[in-house]
Amino acid sequence: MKSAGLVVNFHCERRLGMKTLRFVRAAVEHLEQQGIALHCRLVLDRADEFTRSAVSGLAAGVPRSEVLEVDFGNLGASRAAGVARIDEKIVFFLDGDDFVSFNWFEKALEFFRAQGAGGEKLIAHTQFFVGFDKELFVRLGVDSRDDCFDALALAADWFFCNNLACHRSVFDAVPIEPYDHAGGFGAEDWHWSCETIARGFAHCLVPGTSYFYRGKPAKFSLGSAGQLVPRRSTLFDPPWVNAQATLRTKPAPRDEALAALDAEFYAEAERLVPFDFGLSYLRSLHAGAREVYYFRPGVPDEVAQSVRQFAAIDGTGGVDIIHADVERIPGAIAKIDDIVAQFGDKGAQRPRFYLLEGRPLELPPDDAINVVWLDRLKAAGTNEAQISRLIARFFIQSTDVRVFNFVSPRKRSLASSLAAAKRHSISVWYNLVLEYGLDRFSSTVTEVKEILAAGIAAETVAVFAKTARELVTEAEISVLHATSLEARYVSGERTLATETVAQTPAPAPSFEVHSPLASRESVPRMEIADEIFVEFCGEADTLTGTSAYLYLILGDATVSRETLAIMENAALSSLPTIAVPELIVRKRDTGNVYFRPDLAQMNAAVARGTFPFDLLQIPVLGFDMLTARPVWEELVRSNRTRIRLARLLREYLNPKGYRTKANLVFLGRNTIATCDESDMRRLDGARVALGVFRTEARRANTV
Amino acid sequence: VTDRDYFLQERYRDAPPDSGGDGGSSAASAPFEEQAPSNFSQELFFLHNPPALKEYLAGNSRFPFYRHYGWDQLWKARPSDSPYLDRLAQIYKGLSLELLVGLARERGRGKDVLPVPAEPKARWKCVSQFGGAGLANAGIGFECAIVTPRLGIGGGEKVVRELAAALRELTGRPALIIVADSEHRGGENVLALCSLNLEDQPFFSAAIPKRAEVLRDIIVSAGIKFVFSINSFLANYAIQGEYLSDCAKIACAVFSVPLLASGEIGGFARDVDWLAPNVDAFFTENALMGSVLREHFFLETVHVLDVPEPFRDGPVPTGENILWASRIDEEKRPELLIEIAKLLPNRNFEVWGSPLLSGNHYMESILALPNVIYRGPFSSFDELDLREIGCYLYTTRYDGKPNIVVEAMSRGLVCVATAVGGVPELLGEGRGRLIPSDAGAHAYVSAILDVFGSDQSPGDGERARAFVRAVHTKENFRNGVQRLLRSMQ
Repeated sequence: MKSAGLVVNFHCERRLGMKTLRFVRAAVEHLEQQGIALHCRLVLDRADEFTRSAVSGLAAGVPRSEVLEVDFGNLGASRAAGVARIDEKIVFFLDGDDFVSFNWFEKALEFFRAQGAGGEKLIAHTQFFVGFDKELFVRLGVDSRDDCFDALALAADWFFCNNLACHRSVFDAVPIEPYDHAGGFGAEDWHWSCETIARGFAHCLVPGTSYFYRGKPAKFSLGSAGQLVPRRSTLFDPPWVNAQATLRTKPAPRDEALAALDAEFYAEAERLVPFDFGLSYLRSLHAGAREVYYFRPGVPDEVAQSVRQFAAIDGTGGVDIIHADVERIPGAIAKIDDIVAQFGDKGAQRPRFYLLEGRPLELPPDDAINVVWLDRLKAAGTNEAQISRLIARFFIQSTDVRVFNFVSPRKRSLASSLAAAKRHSISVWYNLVLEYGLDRFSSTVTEVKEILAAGIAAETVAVFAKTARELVTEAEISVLHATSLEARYVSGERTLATETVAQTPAPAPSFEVHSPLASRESVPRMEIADEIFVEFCGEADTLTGTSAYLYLILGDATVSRETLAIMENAALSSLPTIAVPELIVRKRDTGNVYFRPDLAQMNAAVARGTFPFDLLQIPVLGFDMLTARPVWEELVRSNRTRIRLARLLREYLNPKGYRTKANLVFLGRNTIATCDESDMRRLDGARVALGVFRTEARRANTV
Repeated sequence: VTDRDYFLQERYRDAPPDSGGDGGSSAASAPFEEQAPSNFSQELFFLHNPPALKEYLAGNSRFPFYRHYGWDQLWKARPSDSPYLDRLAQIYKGLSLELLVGLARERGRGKDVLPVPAEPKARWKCVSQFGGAGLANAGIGFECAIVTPRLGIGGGEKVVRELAAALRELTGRPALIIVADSEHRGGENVLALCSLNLEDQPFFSAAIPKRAEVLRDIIVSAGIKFVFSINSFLANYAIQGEYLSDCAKIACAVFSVPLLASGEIGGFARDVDWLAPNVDAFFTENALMGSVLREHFFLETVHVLDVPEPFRDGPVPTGENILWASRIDEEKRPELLIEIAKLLPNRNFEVWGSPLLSGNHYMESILALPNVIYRGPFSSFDELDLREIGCYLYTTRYDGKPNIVVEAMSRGLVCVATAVGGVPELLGEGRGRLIPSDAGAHAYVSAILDVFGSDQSPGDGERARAFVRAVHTKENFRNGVQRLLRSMQ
């Protein structure tokens, strides 16, 4: 009897895992009838109780199966653990919520039998990779031996997944390396395909077979995560790249030339519908009642060319990577070189690699400098995610990178993307701001803050002192400025277009640091805790100060500078008062929402004795200090640190000792607060409202 | 020190002093080439346009960038004069010009609060009020909420009403019925979400996640403890997205495995895998679906509720005509009715119903048949005149346990129906005639002829009526709902 091993990985698939395991049992039984013994290793990696119990229970019905429990939290490592328990010559992989066509096992085994000893250098994949459930697509596989395929395209995109079959010995030669999400590295299958190709293995297809991949929300997946790329690979190291000088010899076939899906494809899919109804969408595809994205993966030749270009430079002593939008830089590349030369590294000459957007007035010959023109990549059809990965690859394959990011005032660059993976090799990162002051449309602050938020310890250098001061104010970061750099920039610019500036190393400019003020006079403030409580921030004596209001500010909501001044200087109210900004800007991906509180409506609701629900849609609320102070003093006396917001609101909506209820007022003319959805989610308005009603109801019953 | 003075002092110290300016008003005389506003930059402007610099240094222009590049899009000398701001103020009535200028200042400080002129499609909304708190303000104490897509006629709606009645009986409080996916006028204990104003626009114009948030807020603020989702897209979306997870126990109804004409399985049966992690109990009204939920989806807590049907006494209908009453939609296979009617030219068919989802394209063929009497739409089985009827024909492609068949059975009417979903549970054991789902019109014709030709038919009708009387009782249903409620706790 022929035999093979199957590693099935589970994490928290729960019922979906049960579906896959039911399929595995059917496949094992089917293969047994064909004289094939499939030995299953069911690997539970940090599985939840439901999945563990379900898999263990169903595994009893799967002949020749073994359940392994591991504690990696890592798909790559748990696959490797499964492989270690396989004794059979041929190994198959399957994820715990996916399916494969029934014919895959037989056809793959037949494929390896036909290949003989040569099969040990081959890794077989299904011909089709078919999405179902939350993602519907049909992806045609790629043969790495195909003349149309350039392995360096793997720098930008993923071609080979772990729906594979191969000789057990392949994993001895090229072990699966666990991914490192914390380090910014993921996609262990992508990385493994790079490594196997670099070591002479080929990835090939078994015709007529399909892998059915379940599209699902990201939170359910162990292996996938955004902002991740494969780790450093031999495939992109200069020795390998430089030894493979030829480009692919045939152009990539076009998607419109893809062969129609045949009867075997649909018949195999139909056999799986009883295991998951989601696969029935292929019936509609077959009947012509539905269209689906049917494609062959690929990236333009420019990607591989860029990798070759990078590999051709000698980066052993470090490399300078320069991001710039040359249309925004007077003097373009010559000016860039002049500025970078000011940041001399003890006189050492490091190769420069330019990642440039836009087109300069005078274009240097392609071989004059090491440049990747991002616009050319885009024009060739490379999408932004692929370009981001390509750029990250230059960092990942290097060891000592200095980054000079010439920040464009008009277009945010891709510099900060995939930062977690890039930062391992970054020794210095400079954001260079050439603008003379931040004009109304500048996106500089946004990009600089984005880079810092991505965890890159970047220094921001403003060429002009005025810009440095404005950046400090607006971004609230420290900014470097050197008079000598400004003088050099100003003096040289009138001849920049025609003059070639010598790349002479110069002593680093003597920078002065513009720092944000250590502390700004702040308003007494409360924060939301656990969605329905408020906590006082800062020193208790602030409450006894002169401020008229105690402010509740949700999350990272901000107020305009003028609004802050009004908040600081607001007049004391003698009646219970809640003050709100005149305008709230809610920032959303799809466009801002402008919310003007309807005071008349809210005051009318208060007067009626109902709750003005709109109040909880406002990210900045001022509670008059006369009413708030006793509440907090009582809290302090009882050794508590927080209070229900509903309780605080009740003091205002139904105040003791006053004939009138709270008055809702504007903080002042043109007061503006800005927030986003995450700020508003700090507060569970519905539960607070319910709390107010319940309190009121209890009070009414007591009365 | 103004920006301009600084510019002059720091960078062009040898330049002549400012001698006033024209405010950038003589655009027509500008000798410079056109350039898009997005390319605008003070530095670039002067570097690439030395004449503009000269003009500026000579004091002939105070705002050369705006003068030359942003004439109709950017601010001019005074922000409040800006056509751009004026335009925004015109479009967004809720924003005063002063507030817009305030926002523009924030934009100038690098805060992304105003769309740039190059983003004409940026979405702006002026919001004056959010909906969703009305119930809480009303202070009504609800414990259970039933979320339904609509509340008109039909089997699903019958389940909603019967469930509401049973919950009231069991909890002592009214159940709140939330009509979530279609227009409705609301009513006592009925909240139509279409009546809410969300972000200054009709509820159904808001993004679906926003609607789900509102649904969740209503459930929380009304103090709802148990939510029953009955075929509601919004509720099922909210359940899958975990909007309701922290606020109530959830039961979800799945009645059938809808089969499209292509054979594709559609409907909520496709979502069960993603509903299940956030649902405390599933319920249905037919045993077949119950077993699908248990065996295909591996669900543990599944309840099958027998929806009550009032008992109707009286003689078994023994007329000569055939009744076909249903939505005249593709899933009910009216084309099969047409074919059967053609095969039985001597038998009259009384057709009730109207198209809801599939348009009118079956109507012409139906009306053209000489032996079809089209009676029009109906809102209740009681409206149907059964005096000439001797058989009920039901040709659906898929179903749960069809309420209309239960209603026909309760009147002792012999049914000929496709054996799909819960239909065999109703018509099995000699209570009617079951036709295999893949059978053609001839199978229905044979069954119909058998109904009219057999002495057993009145007995079939009596057995059908006895079955409904025994199974589809209020007591059975209430007990089922009680078990459902207990399993959710």
